Amino acid sequence: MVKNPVLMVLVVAALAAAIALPFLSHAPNRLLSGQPVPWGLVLEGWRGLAFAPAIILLADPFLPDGRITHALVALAASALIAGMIWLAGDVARAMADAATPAARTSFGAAFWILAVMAALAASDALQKLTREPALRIGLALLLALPAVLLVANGFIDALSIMKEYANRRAVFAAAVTTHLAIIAAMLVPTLAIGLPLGLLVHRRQKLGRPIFAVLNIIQTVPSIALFGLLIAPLAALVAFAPALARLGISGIGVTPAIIALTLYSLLPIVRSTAAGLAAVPGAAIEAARGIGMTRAQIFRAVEVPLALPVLVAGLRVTVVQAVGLTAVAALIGAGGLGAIIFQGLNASAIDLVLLGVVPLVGIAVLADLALKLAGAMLKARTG
Amino acid sequence: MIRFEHVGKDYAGWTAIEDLSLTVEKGEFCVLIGPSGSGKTTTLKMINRLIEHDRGRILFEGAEIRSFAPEELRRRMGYAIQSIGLFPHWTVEENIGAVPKLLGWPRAKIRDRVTELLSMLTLDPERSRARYPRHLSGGEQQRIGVARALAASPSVLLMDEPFGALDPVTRDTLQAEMLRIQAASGTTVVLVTHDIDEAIRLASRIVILEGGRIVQSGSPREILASPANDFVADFVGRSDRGLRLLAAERVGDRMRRGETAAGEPLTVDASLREALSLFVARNVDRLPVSDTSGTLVGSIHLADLVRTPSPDAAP
Repeated sequence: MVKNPVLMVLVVAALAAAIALPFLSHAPNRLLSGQPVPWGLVLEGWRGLAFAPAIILLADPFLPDGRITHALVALAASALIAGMIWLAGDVARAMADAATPAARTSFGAAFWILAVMAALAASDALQKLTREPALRIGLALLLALPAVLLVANGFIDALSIMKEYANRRAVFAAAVTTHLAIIAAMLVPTLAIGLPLGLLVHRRQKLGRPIFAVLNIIQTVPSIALFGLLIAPLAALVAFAPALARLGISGIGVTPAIIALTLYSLLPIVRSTAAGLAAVPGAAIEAARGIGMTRAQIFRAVEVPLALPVLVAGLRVTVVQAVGLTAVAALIGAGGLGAIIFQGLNASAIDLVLLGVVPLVGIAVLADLALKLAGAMLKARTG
Repeated sequence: MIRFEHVGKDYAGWTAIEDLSLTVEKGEFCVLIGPSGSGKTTTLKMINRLIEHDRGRILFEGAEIRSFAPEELRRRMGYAIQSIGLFPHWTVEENIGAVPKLLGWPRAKIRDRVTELLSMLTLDPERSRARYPRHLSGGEQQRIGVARALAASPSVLLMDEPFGALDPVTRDTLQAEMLRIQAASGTTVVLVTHDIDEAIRLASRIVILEGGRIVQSGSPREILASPANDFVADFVGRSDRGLRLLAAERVGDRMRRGETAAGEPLTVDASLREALSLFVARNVDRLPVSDTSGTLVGSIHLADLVRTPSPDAAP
């Protein structure tokens, strides 16, 4: 009996695609496109055992629905990802011995498809395993640990993406820092403008329409266009008041990036602030008034704490959106992981692109998890 | 305690309260009753300035209510509503302690008061105090709502259909508790309801409103015995009036002291309506009566239900 036909179709399709596609590719140097490494070479000797956990994932639709099954699936997914990383590293090391130093071995499409499938299976199993968000996130981090340890301990240093990393350690660290700094800096004006605006929309319903109309229009402007649009007015502003240039403000770089990100972030923040305040039960506010709380006390002790879970959900959307948009901001010289991605694109060096993309996805996932956890904890408190 | 002098309230285009004069004495249990739109809730909310009156004067302990800051006035009056409005993110203890905290009571004093109120409302203090409202039943939530209203020992308790959303059994229990608490504390209560049986059971005085005016005001017995007009007669129920009249009186007022009868006794504070029900159910014409501690004190005859009470019959 198949309990989850959708999942099974997904798994079978992924496996079929994976077998047809290369697990690894090999190229004489980083600029040439790679040739598939034959599966025979990948699975040579005992190495194929790395794929053994996949059998449990395949069997999952037929296993009885229970905690043991879910735990088994989560562990198998973790073991599969770690196993594939180890396998890729091992094959790459073997091939590197035979080739010239410039030769590159890269992850192929099959690796990514299988890794994503395993991650989805693990996430699904964890969701069924526990409803406690804190526990779920803790377990997810624990399951990711073997893969992280393998990478951190140099098991895949022979792979192209890690060679790219080794070549630009300092640039990479600076890019991550810049990326995070832009997002942190963007949050200051976003919250300073968005929270009062959300409160205003909640208190004066009539103002909601025009405010949301403007924010919606901003949201529809493509990010590249908005970044570009800000160059001219900011450059003119700096020309008019040169003192601003000494503060680091200019038409390109971090300033327009933060302005554009703030503009994009206002919609989710204003909307979730207003929605959170609107969701505060009217009876609680009436009772608060009736027992003699002042307006300020009602706001502080009743409205804010009860609106907070919805607001944090909005903040999650904002931050995850900003992680991606900040990458685009590299086009106007803001730096960050986007700079690495675009450098890779210009040089047709796919592994350099990945060096930017993989941590980008990691930051987005971690930010999402952290804010989800914060939201769940707030929700547990407010009921 | 509370005095309305020719009070009026207008909303855009219509008059909610016409010309209302009413005095609620200290210790009274005053029930405002009337159909929807009669102005009963408006009248209640004008007392703690949740709604401001347009004409006339409202006095609280002799002073015009506008001479107080609204918050200060409200903290001196308890307030409980049908939708309860407990703060979902606060524990039972924090909810009940809300007004004392606003008044700056020390923490230990608030704690003791919460314990006292929880036991008064038949909730286990140690089991209940740390719980959140969402873990309580509707009846328990309204008990906490009443406890919150009573927390700072207000001289007046304002209640807007507090038992309206509860099931009949829970409502009955809470009404009995309310009567007991009011009798013990001597708090003045102003309660709004549209349920005439609730009014008869709780009120020492019923004020019937219609179209923003007082139609009749008096004790439950006065109103049932002599409705001022057809509206009141309809409102108190033409065919049920006799039964409601019985509901408004206690067995203790009609019993024959010292006499005995066979069977399980009624208590002195049971209503005559309950007595009638027992006469019929047991197919007897006399019943023994005990005091609240269970000691037999007398009996009551079926005929006593229709006898006009003599002045010396009071216990």
